Amino acid sequence: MEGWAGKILDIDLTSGEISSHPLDREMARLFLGGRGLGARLLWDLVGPEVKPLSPENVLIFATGPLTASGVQTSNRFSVSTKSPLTGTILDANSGGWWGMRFKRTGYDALIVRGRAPQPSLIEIGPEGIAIQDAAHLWGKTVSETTELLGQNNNRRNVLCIGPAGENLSLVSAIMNDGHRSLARGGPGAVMGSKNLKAIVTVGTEKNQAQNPDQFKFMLYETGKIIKQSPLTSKALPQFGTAAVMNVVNEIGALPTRNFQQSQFEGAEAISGERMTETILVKKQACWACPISCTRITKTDRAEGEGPEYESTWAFGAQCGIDDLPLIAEANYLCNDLGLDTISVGSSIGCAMEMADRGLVDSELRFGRGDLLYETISDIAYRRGMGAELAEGSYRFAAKHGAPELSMSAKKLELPAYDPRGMQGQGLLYATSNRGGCHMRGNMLGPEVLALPRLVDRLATQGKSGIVAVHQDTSAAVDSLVVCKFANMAATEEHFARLLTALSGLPFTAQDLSQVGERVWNLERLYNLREGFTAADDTLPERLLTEPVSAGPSAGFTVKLAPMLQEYYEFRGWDEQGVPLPETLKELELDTLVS
Amino acid sequence: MIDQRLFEEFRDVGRDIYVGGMTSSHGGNVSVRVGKRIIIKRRGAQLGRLKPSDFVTTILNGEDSGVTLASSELIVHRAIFQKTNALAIVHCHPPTAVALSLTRDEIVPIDNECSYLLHRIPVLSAEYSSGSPQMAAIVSDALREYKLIMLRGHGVFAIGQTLDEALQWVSAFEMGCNIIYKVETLGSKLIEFRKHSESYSSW
Amino acid sequence: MNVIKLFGSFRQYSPAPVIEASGETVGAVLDSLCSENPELRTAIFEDRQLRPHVRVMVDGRDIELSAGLDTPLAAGQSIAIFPPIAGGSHRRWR
Ligand code: SF4
Repeated sequence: MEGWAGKILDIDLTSGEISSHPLDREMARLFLGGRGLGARLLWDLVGPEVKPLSPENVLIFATGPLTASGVQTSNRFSVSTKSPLTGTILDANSGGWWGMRFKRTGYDALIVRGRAPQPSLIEIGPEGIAIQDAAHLWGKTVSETTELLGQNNNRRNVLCIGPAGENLSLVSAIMNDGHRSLARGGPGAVMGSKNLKAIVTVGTEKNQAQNPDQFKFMLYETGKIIKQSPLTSKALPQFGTAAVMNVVNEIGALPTRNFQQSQFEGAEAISGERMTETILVKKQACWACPISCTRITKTDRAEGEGPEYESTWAFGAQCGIDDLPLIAEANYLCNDLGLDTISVGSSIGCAMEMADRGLVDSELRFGRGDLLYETISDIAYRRGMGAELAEGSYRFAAKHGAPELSMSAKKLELPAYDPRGMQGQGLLYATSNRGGCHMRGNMLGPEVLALPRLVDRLATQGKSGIVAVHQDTSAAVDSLVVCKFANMAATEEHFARLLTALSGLPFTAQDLSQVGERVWNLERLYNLREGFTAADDTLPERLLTEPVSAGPSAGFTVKLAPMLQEYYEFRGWDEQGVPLPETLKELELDTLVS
Repeated sequence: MIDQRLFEEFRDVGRDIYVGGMTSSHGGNVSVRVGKRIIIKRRGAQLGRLKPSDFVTTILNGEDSGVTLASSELIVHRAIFQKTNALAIVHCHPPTAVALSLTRDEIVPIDNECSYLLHRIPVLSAEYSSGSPQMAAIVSDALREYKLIMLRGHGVFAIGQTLDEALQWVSAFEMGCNIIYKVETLGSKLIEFRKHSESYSSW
Repeated sequence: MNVIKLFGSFRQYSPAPVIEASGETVGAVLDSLCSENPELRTAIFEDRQLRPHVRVMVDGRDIELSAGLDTPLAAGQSIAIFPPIAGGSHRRWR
């Protein structure tokens, strides 16, 4: 294979039928792979009549043309489905080894349909493809399942759900290689609803370059830029993603106690610096990654991977907890039960505020780290109030009469940046196609880290373009698929040339941006077809009406309306946020809607 | 009216271009995209001395009152904003780059900085009428692949997310051209220090 | 008096992560901070300019958005200095 394997594997769990069809080459040119290909396939396969947890929903595991090629961070893959948490189109992506290994089985993507009559697993390997009984694994944790199925990073890779996914928690993740997660939007529940416990891959086919000399040169150039960037060569390896904790706190954008404050007095205690000094054992990297942002950590009681910045925030500042070992253990537990740390931490923070205000009867309070472990287990096993929190913060808060206390957009819990101190981030959250999310063009780069250039984080004019460009870039990166962190150093210029050398097909930097824009617009069309409107492009009331009370962002709310209007214009959408016919035509999407 | 911070960016970048010797007193142009509008230097305004009243706003495509006041190269800026994801454009006439463009079809930098940032810069030929549709088409097409391109005997077009970013490409480029010029003037054999340097022409 | 907070790898050059110093401008304060600490000076400065990618904030506001090292300081304002975490500072390349 040169970029694409050219085949899609299709498994119907209801009938047990396994088939393979050729990858539509034109589709590959327009959407590449990963998230883009997933969105395009989902457009045809899952219409508005389909309920997310019904057998008619599908899971599409997709790799991209760069996956398994040896390009820096080309370990990644994505899963696309209709989200049970948000009702929007969803894709989540992950690193590790599994995606690379799946690609090496000779397929670009795997479509899983239907519902197995009993707990099952799929094995894809040189001896063939089989659906097997998984009754003995049902109820097992992620680490147990991964081990029982013979995980070996370099040969045999396991992807599975934990108890949370089995119990259809809307904040459940799909896990691969033990610790990596496809976390956001509840894909674990979709897999659980299909009675699918795991997918094991063994594969050895190579993704080799059509033009090896040019490919080698481009690998060298990309490696050079990753080595030059202080982010990818120093900060991430040394302090992990939590390197940004102190920065975000310093500017007054660290959401604290369910976004009631924007600075956390315990930020230092949960910072990347502190993690490196105390619980860090070693750093680790996904396959073919020179960056090594992953932390292997150890507390007095346990050992595991992470926590990343977002998770540290979710169980830390969001819950008013400054005990780093405890936060690390909460993170290990979420990984093992198969839960999305951001949504879980944020939902617990929401419950803490609700309890504070007497809206729910619970012992939970900000700072009660002692209750964290138990609450997380309750969510995975749907015990007590955990059963309600397993539905995410929006449904939980709404049930108790205070939906405005859920810090979510389109019902997806917001991550670790208070947009009142980063106006562009607010626009990003409000317009993100899978709901409040920072992985679709994080404005931390331009608004805080000066990447590629510093823009005023409190200004609004001109932000729409920067947000849209970053969204498109992230969609392209997610379709290639490479890691967002590599993209903080290397740009489309590099990836386009890598793709050209690999596949022999001409791609320019702007072609990739356009793929991103196409994917973004297709996702928008999908959500519109599901009944979402401009009214859903919004943020929790708190962020729009309650000014930050103290610190460097004091007095600010998110000035969303003017940014949103400018954004729709920039995107070539009408005032209702619907893509104009000429926009769709330019993106070659017009045939889908006519 | 453009907001203060944006004006300051225009002013600083314009001054740097002029003071850096990368344009004549009345040459060159800069623009940014905001939503579906373009903010561009007014016809005749001097890059080195920009005032808040020196800008016109016009839509990305079509006729409006801004068109006649804008620089004659508006058509090129529009084409670039339509065909790329650029949010800012710098166009100017750096002399060494212009000189080199008259002697070759591509400029391949030999110094560390420019080579790292730009690798290779194509030299395009368009009939000399600044602001022709033909020129708009070839410039905007080339910028789909390169963040900076050279128009033979005329000047550079560079794109970025901010004016400052586009300026960096231009500034590094002119510096790189100066170095090529000096090395060629020395006439001695070039001692290569970069790995894979033979591949830069394929960028 | 002004409080100066050092982050990330800068801490290895300083006895404490938080130090007190005073001055009229950010530049003056940093200068006095580094006067007896040449290692810290090399980590922060290059030719009397901030090193590329070093970010300095006064009360959470990046000085690039004010007057850079000439940004005036009032008593009680705090300065935060971050080592290179990411991107390109103004017009400089490394
Ligand atoms: S940067 Fe981190 S997440 Fe990305 S591929 Fe490398 S180790 Fe994995």
